[in-house]
Amino acid sequence: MKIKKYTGAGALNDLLDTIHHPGCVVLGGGTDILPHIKNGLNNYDTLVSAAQVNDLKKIQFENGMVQIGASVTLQELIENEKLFNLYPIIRKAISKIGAPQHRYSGTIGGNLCLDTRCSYYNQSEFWRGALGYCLKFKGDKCHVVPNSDRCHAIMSSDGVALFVALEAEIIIQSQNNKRQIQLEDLYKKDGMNHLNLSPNELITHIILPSPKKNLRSDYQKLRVRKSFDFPLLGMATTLIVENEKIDKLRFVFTAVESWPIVITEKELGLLGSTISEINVEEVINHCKKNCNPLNNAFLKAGWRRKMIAVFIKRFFNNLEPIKSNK
Amino acid sequence: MKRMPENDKLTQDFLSARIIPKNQDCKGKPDNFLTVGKNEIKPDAFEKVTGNAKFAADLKLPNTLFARILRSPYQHAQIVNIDTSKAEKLPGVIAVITGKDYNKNYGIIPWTRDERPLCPEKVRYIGDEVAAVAAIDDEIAKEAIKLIEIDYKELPALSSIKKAATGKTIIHEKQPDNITKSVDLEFGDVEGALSDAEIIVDDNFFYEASTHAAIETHAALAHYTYDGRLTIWSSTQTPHYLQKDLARLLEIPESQIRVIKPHIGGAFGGKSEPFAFEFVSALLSKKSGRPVKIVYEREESFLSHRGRHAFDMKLKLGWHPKDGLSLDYKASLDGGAYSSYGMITAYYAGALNAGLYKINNYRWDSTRYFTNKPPAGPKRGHGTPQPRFAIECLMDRLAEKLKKDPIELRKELSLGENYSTINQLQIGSSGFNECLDRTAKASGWKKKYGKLPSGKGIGVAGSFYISGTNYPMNPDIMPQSGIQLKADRSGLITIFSGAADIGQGSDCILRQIVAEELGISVDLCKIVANDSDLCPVDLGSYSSRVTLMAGNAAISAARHMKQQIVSVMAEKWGIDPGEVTISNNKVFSLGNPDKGTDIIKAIHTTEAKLGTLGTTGSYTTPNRGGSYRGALVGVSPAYSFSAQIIEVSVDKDTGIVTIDKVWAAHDCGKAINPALVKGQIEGSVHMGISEALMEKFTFKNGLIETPNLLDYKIPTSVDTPEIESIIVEAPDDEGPYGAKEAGEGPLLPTVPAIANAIYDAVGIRLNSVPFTPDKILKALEASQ
Amino acid sequence: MNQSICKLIINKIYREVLVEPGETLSHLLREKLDLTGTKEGCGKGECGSCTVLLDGKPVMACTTLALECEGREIETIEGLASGEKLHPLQQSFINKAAVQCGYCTPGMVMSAKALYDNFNDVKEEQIREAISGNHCRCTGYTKIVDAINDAFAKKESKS
Repeated sequence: MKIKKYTGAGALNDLLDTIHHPGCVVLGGGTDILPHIKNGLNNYDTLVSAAQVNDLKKIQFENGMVQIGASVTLQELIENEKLFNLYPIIRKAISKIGAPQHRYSGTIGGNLCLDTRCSYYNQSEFWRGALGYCLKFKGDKCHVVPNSDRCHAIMSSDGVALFVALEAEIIIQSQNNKRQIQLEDLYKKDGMNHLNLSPNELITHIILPSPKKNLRSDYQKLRVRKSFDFPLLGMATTLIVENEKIDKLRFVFTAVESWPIVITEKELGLLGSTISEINVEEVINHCKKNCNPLNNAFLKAGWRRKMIAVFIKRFFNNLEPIKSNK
Repeated sequence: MKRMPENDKLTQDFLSARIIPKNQDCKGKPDNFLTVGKNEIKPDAFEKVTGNAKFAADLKLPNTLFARILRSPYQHAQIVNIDTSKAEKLPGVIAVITGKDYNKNYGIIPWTRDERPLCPEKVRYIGDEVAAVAAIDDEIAKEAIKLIEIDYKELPALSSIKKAATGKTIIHEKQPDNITKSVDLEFGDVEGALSDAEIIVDDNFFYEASTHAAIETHAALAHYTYDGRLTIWSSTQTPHYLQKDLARLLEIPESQIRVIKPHIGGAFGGKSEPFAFEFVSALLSKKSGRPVKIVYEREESFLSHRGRHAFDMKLKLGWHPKDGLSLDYKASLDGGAYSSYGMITAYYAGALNAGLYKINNYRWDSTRYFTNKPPAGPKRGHGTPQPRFAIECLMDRLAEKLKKDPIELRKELSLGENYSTINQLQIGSSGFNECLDRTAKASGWKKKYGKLPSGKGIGVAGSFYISGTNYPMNPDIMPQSGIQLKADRSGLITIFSGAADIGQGSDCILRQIVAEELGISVDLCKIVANDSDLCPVDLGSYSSRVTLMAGNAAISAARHMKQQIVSVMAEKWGIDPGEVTISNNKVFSLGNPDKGTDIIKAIHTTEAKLGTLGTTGSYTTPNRGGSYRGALVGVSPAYSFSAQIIEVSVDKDTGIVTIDKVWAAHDCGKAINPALVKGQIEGSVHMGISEALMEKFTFKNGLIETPNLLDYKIPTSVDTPEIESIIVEAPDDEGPYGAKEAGEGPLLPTVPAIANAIYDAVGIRLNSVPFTPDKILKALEASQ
Repeated sequence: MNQSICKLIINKIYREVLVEPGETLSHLLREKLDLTGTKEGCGKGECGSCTVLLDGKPVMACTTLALECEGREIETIEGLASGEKLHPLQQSFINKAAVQCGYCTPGMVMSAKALYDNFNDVKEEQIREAISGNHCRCTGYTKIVDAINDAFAKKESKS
């Protein structure tokens, strides 16, 4: 598709005024949208840049809460010391996204909206044409699960797992409306159309609650290379133990299904248990039951699924004692 | 870079002066070299670090058109009809061509020319070229190819060797068995030897296909002018073969075609034969009378391929205390849709297997099949890394059975110097044992092998490789390489060379050699290379031939020039020419060092006496090789040797292998420029690691699964370990100052050394390259 | 067409260039301004050959829209040397034989420069990390890391 129009919005209102036009897409850093356009993966003909909207470029701290503008770059998240002190996991996880250049250009808003990926979809127009296209775009057949009525493209954002694990909320705005939802609720169980977001809506901010005392968190990423690669499996974990009882235990998996898979302490029946009471094998079995990757990424799905157990074991094995007086 | 001060005393010149005997033997006196052996700077480095170096895609001429190629979306189909009328009508489109516009096939091997620049009747893989357009800009060209309408009639497709062998359909009418080439040879009595053997190690092995993935995609700018001349700037490793094939296909006399190779952004064998983009841009230029530029997209470079063949192998290696080693080897090669170099690959698949170790009985059976996939060809090491992987793994198993240290066993069985292999390859010098010793010492092998904690391991492997081939693909009576020198009145010596510097630094090597021979500093030598109008022929940068062949030609040309200068000066001074030499930019009498003059004055004197000063030199390979059919493949003037030791960590939970360190020793005969030799070793090891752990050129529905640099994995800087490169010098009588190849050989031991290290770490034997974590985990689970 | 004027500073010089709405920065540099030192190897942000500095930060020019650079500062490989003098990184790449085919070199040097401009002393790990978005198929990175190390060593000895 040839781009007919570009608008560099200066203010949030300008941006909201523009995005509802058909064929319009919001441009963050462009690191994913531009390859998409070059591959002919959409019908966009108008680009509206959110990169220079000042309202969206700030990281603000208020009453322990953090508000991150959608146009904050991944590198800015990594470099922010205050954020690091509150949530060290953010630096660790975001540093694992893409290559350095992607982190300098890419925005967190873009990362949360990253299109689902699939080895039959993220290909050139020529390639997909030769295949006969697929369900996700221009075609009527899923090549991953033939006869499937839904698309199995994979949620491939590391940032989504991270921020869903941290129970982030997002502010969504349109010309006439503003709503705040759990980030987790942004995602639909459909690889084709995976965001609960109307064409006239824009994610403007990510809100992080003030970090709970005793929060322990981790992000593990499975990939072939230590740079460039999207996850083959990502697991973000948060754990809060109060008076030796588990108050919160969240596993969020990315690169498994079309949406982030969330497993909580309640589902695991671990609310109020002590750490030593955790049966890791049971946790693994429960998580694996809910995680069924398919063969549409670089390495075999069976292996990727097995790695869930490894990640969970490693999380518990590497659990450091809670640092007091933080 | 060390250089003598300009006003140094003549006595010092006298001391460092030397005459190299005609037989080029320079063993034992490396300290006498002036520039050879020094890390002189590559002449192209300056323009490359400043962004001034022009690659094919950077070139522009006034009025240039842009070309795009339409490719087949079918694996195997008849072309029923092509309608280009809509494309032709699109404003901005200047010319459209199809298969009908060419009358002849092309192909690098004269006996297997089976490709057309654009398919006239039949397409044989997804990506096969069908039609092309030249337009005033790239966007219009892109639009125009979409408007070309083609009716195809689909044919059954052969996606694997197995399917090709069953022959349900025929890819090339002339080869109804779907076989490019089959080689079946036996030396000695293999069956007898194997039945007598005390120990036999055997297994099936698989080596996955991989592609070159040079960072520069293929590109050319062609300009046909109304005087009937065609000039083409192309990203090619083989400009001379391109000139010949352009002449044949476009029916323009060779004399009217000028091929210029600009800077090349990596090649590794992937630019070593003519391609569609060159014929297409040339013909479109001829049709339009305007310059035509074409730059492949990344995916098109993947489709052009000519990369490493996937090999299915079966090997049986026998050992007997008296009779030594015997090898029975069978390989099936997945060749893709066209022959490319495949006929030669089928030979390379076996030709170098009976070397390195004393193998006294050897049977080799290799077959290259056609399949409906992009054609495989030569990638760094051409057809030899696959069997070398298998053999080195078996050597490790043999050592285990013999309860011997694998290094000791290799040293015991290595064939040494001046050895004739059972398949009649004449090995000259060999530094193999020194390579093994020095890697062992550097790595602390004895303290580590078999002794590292579980999950950590160390492995060794060796290899050897050709320094060019004695018999080129287009056999003729003329030399393989020529050099022409021109002495300017300024003192500048211009070196005209047809050798293709593809980044490895051959221009630098030639400059060092000429400077060395003439006794002048390198900055008095300038290289003009790869312009067929200006430079004598060199056959190209393939088979690791350039240092040896162009290097010898450069020595010869420089000696002729030196002879002229020396004889004129000797006559002037009234002394014997043998008394005169050149060193540090000065010509002087050996007997009376005070009698001297600087090189510029000497050139003036010589030109006054003899006229314009220019000389030539050339290199013709010696007559060698065995008498059987196919004996000429693998015959080289000299062979390089390599050994590597690699330390790895294997994560037993995930199957992920991390390479901790690589010690790579390479016998290149004589390192004319040690920094460049090390660069070749390091680059080879990097590519070896990449093939061992990541690279997979695989297919789904006939489509390359990963035709982009995100999904086709090559290691980044954070995935690449420390590589300690060790230069070993066992000079060869055939090489310039003893020099042999360095660009391909060091890739060969990397993959098996990693396999052997994984065994040392976790006790599993891997037979299938690449060693991806899913395979490793599966093998680990099976072993428990 | 829907062309518009893009105003930006390239290698310290103010430029006004007519661009298409969907035009990438690498296209603008290479095709409109003849700054062909910036290379393209993939066009999709997968190789790093087109790395330039945008307001001092390394980005891939093939996935950066030209119009996104409005009012901003671009530095390309052509802007590194000052007068007759090469940038220390360029000199180190030459001295340490870190250049083979040279196609990745401009992008590699620009990524290194972003590091060089921001630190005085770095560990090898940081160097490898800084160039982990730049593919090199020739060198195995050994000599590139050496060269960047060398430039830093010289910087230290100066300060």
